[in-house]
This record gives sequence, structure tokens and C-alpha cells, in this order.
Amino acid sequence: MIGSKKNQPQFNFDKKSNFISDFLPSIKNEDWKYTNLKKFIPENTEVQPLTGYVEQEKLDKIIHSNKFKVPEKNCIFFLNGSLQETISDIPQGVLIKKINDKANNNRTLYMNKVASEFSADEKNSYAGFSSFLEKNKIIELNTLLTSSPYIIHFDRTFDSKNNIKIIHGFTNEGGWFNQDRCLYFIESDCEVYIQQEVVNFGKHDSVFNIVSEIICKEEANLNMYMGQNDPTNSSIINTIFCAQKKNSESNFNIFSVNGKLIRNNVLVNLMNENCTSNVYGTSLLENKEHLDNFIVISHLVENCKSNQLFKSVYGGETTGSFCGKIYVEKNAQQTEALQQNNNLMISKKASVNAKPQLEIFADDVVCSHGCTIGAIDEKSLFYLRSRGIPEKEAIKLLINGFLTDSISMIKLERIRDEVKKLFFKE
Amino acid sequence: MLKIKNLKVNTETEISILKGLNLDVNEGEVHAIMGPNGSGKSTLASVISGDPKYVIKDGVLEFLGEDVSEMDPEERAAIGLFLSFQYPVEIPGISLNNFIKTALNQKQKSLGLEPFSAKEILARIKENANALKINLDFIKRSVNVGFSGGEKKRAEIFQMLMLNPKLSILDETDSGLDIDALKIVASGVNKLRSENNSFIIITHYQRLLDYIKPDFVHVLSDGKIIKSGGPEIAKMLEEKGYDWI
Repeated sequence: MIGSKKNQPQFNFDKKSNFISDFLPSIKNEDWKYTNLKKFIPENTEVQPLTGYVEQEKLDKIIHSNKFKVPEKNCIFFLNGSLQETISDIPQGVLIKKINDKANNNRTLYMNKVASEFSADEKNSYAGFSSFLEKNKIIELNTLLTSSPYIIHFDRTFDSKNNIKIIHGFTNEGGWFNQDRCLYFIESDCEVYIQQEVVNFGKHDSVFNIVSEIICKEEANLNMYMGQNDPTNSSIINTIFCAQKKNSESNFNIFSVNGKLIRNNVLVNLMNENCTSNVYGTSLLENKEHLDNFIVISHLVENCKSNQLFKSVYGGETTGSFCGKIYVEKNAQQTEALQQNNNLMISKKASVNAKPQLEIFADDVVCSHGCTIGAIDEKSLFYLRSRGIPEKEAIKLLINGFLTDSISMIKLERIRDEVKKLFFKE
Repeated sequence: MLKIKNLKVNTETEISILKGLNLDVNEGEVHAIMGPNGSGKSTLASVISGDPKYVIKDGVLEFLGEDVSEMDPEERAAIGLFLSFQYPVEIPGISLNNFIKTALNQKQKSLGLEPFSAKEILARIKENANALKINLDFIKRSVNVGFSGGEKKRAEIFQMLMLNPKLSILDETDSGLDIDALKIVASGVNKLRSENNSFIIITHYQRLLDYIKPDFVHVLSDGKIIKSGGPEIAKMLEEKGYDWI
């Protein structure tokens, strides 16, 4: 067995399952109204032991166990929360180091600690996340169960052509509750493309709780692609906290096709003027998956833009939830914030709940939200069939068409093609 | 080619629309169908194409000697039926180019034929787009999304030329077209017109029939054809209205 209990964070091991369940939200919690986490993280769930360094031979064996191909270039590989330098390829301009000490309060984010150069004012801006942290102890649990996280630092010498692949690998040996935590620090003027992937090398039915904190400095441009295609009937809770400084831009693209539970929390604070944040989600679920996208974009100052676009297809016995919130602070005039959520139901047994929310305290803003839930349009279907396209093909074509606009938001052609293959099975 | 005998059709909600309609269309013939609003013209077009919204209660619907009343719309298309929609449907996210390629090759597949090569298809696209004065950039746009009324109808005729059907039904393809667009649409029909290809043209106006000369004109009223004859009927209708009958 990899890892040892010596590295474990301090808490009472004997009561581990009770310990976890203390932190799980009930459906009475408004943020978790449509996802009963206790159903996905049962009583007997065990905490994943921390791994540390793994010998090359052992590592190779683990990786080859499910035919996973580690990219040769620009790959940052974590196994059970520890960086594996021997199989990682870290390009120029990226520095990875451990944050020296643990957070002194489990409910504060590491970004508060790291951004020591930020003024007191800006520190307060992180407070925007605090109401979420208050209600979502699952983040606190992540802080408790991880050692101090890695900070992945991108500086000006980083070449944006080097698209980074971040792999969170796990070797759980049965029903483990796995954590990982990263902090991305994107320096001024840096353009970064990151593909995040969570890979289960272990047993089926595990749970992964991944928390990423991101600081985008002035003029930084971050693009993050998150593919969720887990074939091991495991659950993932994927949380992003992104704090943006002046003239910075963030683009998040989430692709969900497979997994027992997929919960995405994306929280963005636009802290200085002229920030842009786009959060796009595309999902095609056809079996028994449960998808819950939870987005909060906070416009804290004036002249910022944001866009949320989520397109989901639900088939089989899938269930889903979309909760998208636009929050506009009193002084955040000239805000432009858009939100759109379209759900296509292709099975009578599938269901979805959508909750678009606007909280606007400024009076000179452009904000919109739109939400649709519908079945395949009969007229469109007949139109396609009247041209000789069989019903099954026609439905596939309509689904592809439905998903096209969120996929077309992917800036990199290579990734766009990969994603098209994943969804369109071309 | 098309044989309709005593056809009775209801909507899903059991409203009777066609009430015993008879129509025979032979190879190479062009039939025009006129009639007041709500007489059942579009229903007839939809029923022939297999729209599942309608229920055939009684009668015969044969195409090329085969009973097609139970066939799926795609099967009917495969053996050579085509409907140009009165209101073409917008399909976001699928380019006209991709759509027509899929349709063509699905048709080949159902006929047990080899798919067309990309080169062959492109050559046909170019030829037909040219005939209809369609810009190739237009083909890259999503099917009917943001098209003007005229563009939608032109795209329908483009699809018709690409699919080369034996029987084409044009449901008010001329409505809302300016005179230049009308001429282009008519030229598309005349391009396909041959001794093997037939047409049913549903229209309210005589002016389309100046460009596409019909062999027969029928007047449909309250679910039945109440008068049939030559092109002179269309002229009389234009002058005197339906009260004349």
C-alpha cells in the first residue's frame, strides 16, 4: 500500500466516517438543494492516506494499469495529492512549490496567505468567497484532509503555446474519499492554457474532492479546460475559486460526459476594473449520472464583464441541476453580465432543476438570464427525417447542433477538436 | 407515380382535414394545387411526406406502386419524395453543408449504395449553388438560422436539387418572394424538370405558374379537390377569386 498514516493530518481516526458526515451538507442547505451528497459519500467512506513520493517502478505500474498515457511534454502529475516530478514535465516559466504552512483557519483560503502583497482592501475582496465557504464545509474538509497545497506559479517567461496538462491521479483502494488542492498564481501579462483531468487509477466508486484556487494578476489571461469523463462510477466535486485583478480574463470550459456525481462549483470574484470571466459548460449524460453545476460570479467593481453559458443534454435516468448566480455590488456600475442555461431532455426518465439568480445592487448595468428545458423539437425532427435522415441519426444531429455553441467557445482548435470527438463521437 | 384515392386524414386531436381526396401524378407531370386558406393544402403535402402529426383514417396513398402510408418519412425520402417546407425549420449548430452531406449519404445508404466522395459532393454543391445564385459562404451557415424569407426558400430548392427527388412537393415556396427570387426558384425547378421528375406545386398565386408551366391545376376546398383542369383555371382564379367556382 502506498502512503503511510504518519503523513495523515491530525484528527480522530477512529471516528472517521462520522467525522466526514459532519461536513456534508444536507439538502436543506440551499446550495445543495438538488444534490444529496450523503447519498454519494456513504457512512463507511474512508479518508485517503497521503502518498508523498512514489518510486518510479511503482508509479509506472500504477499508470499502466489503466492504459493511461502521460503526456511527454508540459504535464504536471499529482498522485494522491503529491507532485510526481519524475513523470512530470514542467516547462520554463512554471514554478511549483509547497506553501509553507497550513491555513490557520480551515475556512480561509490559501490565496489570502499567498497574496501578502495585496493591500488590505484587496484582501477583503476575497471575503466574497466567505459566504460560500460558510455554507459549503466540503471545502473546509478539503483543507483539513490535505497537507499544505502546491502553488503553481506562472511567470512572464512562460510561453503560452505550452498548454499545460494538470493530472490529479488517485490510487484509492476502495471507497476512499480523496482530496487534492492546488493554488494557481498567474502573473501579470501571462497567457495560460490549462487542461485539468482527474484520473482514477484505483477502485471504482470513489469520491474526489478537488479544490483549485486561482489568482489572476493584472492583464493575465487564463483558460482552463476541465474534462469529466470518469468510467469508474466515481464522484467528483470540483471547486474553483478565481480572484481577478485589473484587465484580466478567465475562461472556464467544463465538459461532462461520465461520472456518478459531478458537482462543479465555480466562483469568480472580479476585483478590479475591466475584468472578464466566461464560464462555459457542456454536458451529454445518457446513463444514471447526476450533474450539478453551481456558479457564482461576483462583480465587485465597475466595468467588468461576465458570461455563463451552460448547455446540457439529459438522457437515460440522469438528473441534473444548474444554479447560476450573478452578483453585482452596489458600486459595480457598467457591469455586463449574461447567463444562459439550456437543457435538452432526451429521455422521459431524466430530470433537471434550474435556478438562475440575479442579485443586483447597482442601477446602471446590463444583466440577463435565460433558461430553457425542453424535449427534441418535433418539427425539427420531421424536417431532418423528410430529407432522408433516419430518426436516430436525426436526433444525434439535433443534439450535436444543440451542444455546438458552448463547444465553439473553446479558443484552442486542438482542444476543440478533442472535445468534438468526445461529444459527437465522430 | 403518386396515387391518392379517397384519402381521409385527421390531426392527432381528431380534427378531420382531408375528406376523401383523389389525385394522380404521373412521371414528368407538374401539378399545381390552389385553394383558400385552411382548405388542407399543407396537410396534403405533410401527409404525403409522412409527418407523424397526421393520422390517415382511410384511403390509398401509393408512391411508385408501393403503399407508403405506413412508411417513415426517411424511407419515403429515400425512394424519392421531397417536401419544400412552407416554413423551413431553423436548426442551430448544423451547417447547411454538413446537413446536406448527411442527408445525401443517408439516402445512398438506405438504397444500399456507396457514399459519395467529398469531392463529388462538393462538385454538386458548387453546381447547384451556382444555378440558384447562392454564395458558398451561405452553405456554411447553420440551417435556416437567421436566413431571410427568400434565403430560406432558396435553401429549400437547393436541397431539392442536391437530393434529386422523383417527386417534389413545393408548399407555398413562392410566398414572400420578390420577383427576382421567384425567378431563381422557378429556374431551380425547371432545372430538375424532366420526363422522369414530377412536381406538386402548392401556391396562392398565378405568377409562379408563369415561370413554371403546370400541366394540371387543381382547386382544393374543404379537404377535397373540387375542380381540375389546365393552366387556364389558375388564370380564372386570379381574376375572379374562389367564389367563381
